[in-house]
Amino acid sequence: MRRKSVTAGVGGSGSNEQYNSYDATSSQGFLVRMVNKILFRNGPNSIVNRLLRGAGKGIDGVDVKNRLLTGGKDGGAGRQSRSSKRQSAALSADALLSEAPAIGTAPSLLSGFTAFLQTEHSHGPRKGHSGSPAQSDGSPGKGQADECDIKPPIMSVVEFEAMLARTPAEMIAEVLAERKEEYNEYLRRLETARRQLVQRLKEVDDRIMSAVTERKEIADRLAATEDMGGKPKSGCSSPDSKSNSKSIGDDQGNSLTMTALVEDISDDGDDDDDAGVYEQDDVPRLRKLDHLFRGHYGAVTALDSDPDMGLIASGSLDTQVRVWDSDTGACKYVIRGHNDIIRGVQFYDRFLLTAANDHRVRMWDLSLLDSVQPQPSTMIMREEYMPSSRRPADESNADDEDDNENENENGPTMAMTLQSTTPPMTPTICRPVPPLDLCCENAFIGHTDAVTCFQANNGTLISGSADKTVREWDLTTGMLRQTIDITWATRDSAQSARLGGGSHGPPTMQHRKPWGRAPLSFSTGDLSSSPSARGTDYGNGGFIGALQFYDFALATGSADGALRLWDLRTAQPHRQLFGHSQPITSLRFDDRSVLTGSLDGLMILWDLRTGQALQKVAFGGPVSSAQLVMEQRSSGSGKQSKAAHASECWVAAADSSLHRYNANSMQHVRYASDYGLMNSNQSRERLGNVSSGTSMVTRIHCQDKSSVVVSGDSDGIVKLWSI
Amino acid sequence: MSDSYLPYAAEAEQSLSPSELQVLQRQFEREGTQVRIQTKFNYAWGLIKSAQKHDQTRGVALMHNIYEEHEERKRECLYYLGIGYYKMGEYANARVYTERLLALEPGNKQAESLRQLVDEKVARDGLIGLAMSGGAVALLGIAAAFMFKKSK
Repeated sequence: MRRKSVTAGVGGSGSNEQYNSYDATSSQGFLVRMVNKILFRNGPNSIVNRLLRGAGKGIDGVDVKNRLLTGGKDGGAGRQSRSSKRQSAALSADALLSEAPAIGTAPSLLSGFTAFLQTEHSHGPRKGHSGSPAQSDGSPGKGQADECDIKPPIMSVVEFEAMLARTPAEMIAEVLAERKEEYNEYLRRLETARRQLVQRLKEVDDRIMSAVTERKEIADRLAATEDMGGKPKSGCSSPDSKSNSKSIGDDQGNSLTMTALVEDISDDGDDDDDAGVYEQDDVPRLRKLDHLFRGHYGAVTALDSDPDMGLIASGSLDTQVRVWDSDTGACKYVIRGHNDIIRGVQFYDRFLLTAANDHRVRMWDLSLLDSVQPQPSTMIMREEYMPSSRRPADESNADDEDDNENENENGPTMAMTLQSTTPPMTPTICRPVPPLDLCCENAFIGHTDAVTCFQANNGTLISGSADKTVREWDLTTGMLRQTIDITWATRDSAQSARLGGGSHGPPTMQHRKPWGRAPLSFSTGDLSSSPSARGTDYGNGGFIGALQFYDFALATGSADGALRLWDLRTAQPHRQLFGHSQPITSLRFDDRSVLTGSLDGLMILWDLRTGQALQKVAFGGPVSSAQLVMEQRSSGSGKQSKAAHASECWVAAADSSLHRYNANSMQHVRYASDYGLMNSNQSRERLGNVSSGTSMVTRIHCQDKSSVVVSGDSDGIVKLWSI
Repeated sequence: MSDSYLPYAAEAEQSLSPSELQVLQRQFEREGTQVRIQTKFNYAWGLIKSAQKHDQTRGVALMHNIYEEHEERKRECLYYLGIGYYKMGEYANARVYTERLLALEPGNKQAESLRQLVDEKVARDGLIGLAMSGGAVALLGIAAAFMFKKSK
């Protein structure tokens, strides 16, 4: 009964239960146990102890029963709660206890403690020497065994021999055992120290990870506030721009357009017409800038987008290819696998093809990239905040033709990425093995000079290069299918719109007029060393400045300004169209027409069937990029089936605006690329900081089907516009 | 499990010098919120080893902290908590933790020895209690007898 009363009155009966569940074979007798329960239920606050302690102080007159129950007068509640808290802590820990794992390989806590003590003792006499109390603090690492303190019990050989000689025979074994023990001790201490350091490293790593995660969150929040801050401002943008934006939303026929004086030169074979000169409108139109991708430090020389995956790839003069996410505006990957300026990028399936002046076309497997990249939830600081960090590729020159290095690189030890487009800030923390280079699925090697343009379509890759060849590759195997030597093929081409009599000379004939209308007859000494074979400094033009193919029809634009249409089956050009006086930099065709742009500032729209130049549009500067807006995308290269052929095109012409030309209506609209409606005032400031104001739009790419235009300029900024 | 894995309870009786304890304390405070397990443990163990009650209490509280925060150290903490409570005299709790550790690792010598120590202590206190209660009963009897005699 007494037992029950005691148990009943107890708050937190855990301990009592423990007592009840005693080992029945305990050495204590029953009576002793009873006494324990009654008197010692609360440990030091038990009656007996208080009596013993309080002998000098006198016994307080609190009810004994009270004391039994609560274990003491003053702070009884407190003590009760404390002990019950401990018990409840013990109870809650009970649930966790089943998971208390066995001690792993980590050094035991005690060993760290003893190591600390040893260092303390070893430092003690030093402290006495210097006499400065500050020394006892030491470095934060003091508490751990200082590895420099662990000295191996080294004894020189001579000493050892001498020692051996000294000891009597029977003691030798003992002495040796002693030495051995010393060494073992030393090794053990080393091992402990090593493990502790490893552990400390790991803790520091964890701290870094958490700090970086925190930083990323803060950066995200900052970006969010910037975005939110931009929207109200757009409402108070100038009414001018507002009306413009509305008009842009309408069909291009309605609004104030500029009148372009464009000559329609159909049926006129004379190419010497003075091309029309467009007149500028007063106010350049504004477009809605969706995203601004910053990261390149050289001018953008190649653009492509994959609307299905929401990716935009850009190549630039800084030899980097960057893949951006068009939804979030962040840079997903940086590909540094090229040694020279990038001439072209193209998304194909799940691959990204890149061509550069380093004679190579490389195919990168983007799905592999994902497995190689750490997931966004884990972060690392790398240079330039890019998700991947690679050493500059030395291996790109050592690749074999059929390189299939699909290595799944396990992520770096600290797997973190920061997806942000802010300027580079911090140095790398660690540089693991470059993973991205190993994602290069294929490297198409064969060209002996810069690859200036390429296109991949339907399992075939066609690339044109400054070595005056066009090569056709099989995308699945990486094998070269055929090589078309341009000079050889054009040497005896019969079809030339402009040939006078008998200018088919041997290729080595010294026609010192490379820009004339003769067939390509550059002497090798003339052009191969000149930069024009590779194109301009901005990556425009080249011996074969642009190409596009569909099935076995290939169209190339070359440095003599000639547009050639080839049949891939025979590797012969069946048509040559002359219209440009300068190298052609860009080319696009569809069902019925071909659009070419060249360094002479002209953009010519040709009719495919007749070979006549339908329209010529002159721009203020050399045309570096011209794209037809396709309305349908089939599995081919973007030909339309039945709709009216593409009538719109976007042109980049060495100024800071995007040109949009409608062939049907012959309207030419210029859009300033410096402003964006989205965050109008803000963007002006922002852009003002970044773009020098004299940045030219170097590349334009329009996504089929969607009303999205991507533009890259000479500052390395890629902009995503929506119409 | 090497020999130095857990200390015998006797080790807990040797306290650190005040300067050493102070070093530990400063290290612990210096690390702030990012304090490492080892530092915390060193400090807690140093506190437990000391002879002062408040130190021991603090040490045990820190040990509880480590126990709750770090999964991989739970077993070691059980032992140290047992020792801590043993030194403080709270044999009930000491027994709780020791028994739990023994349930997890029955062959642990240090835990065994700690349990024996706790048992002995409890027994000793129990005997003292017995003696005292016996004496108290005797005193009461004598006093009652006196009063009866007087009233007679």
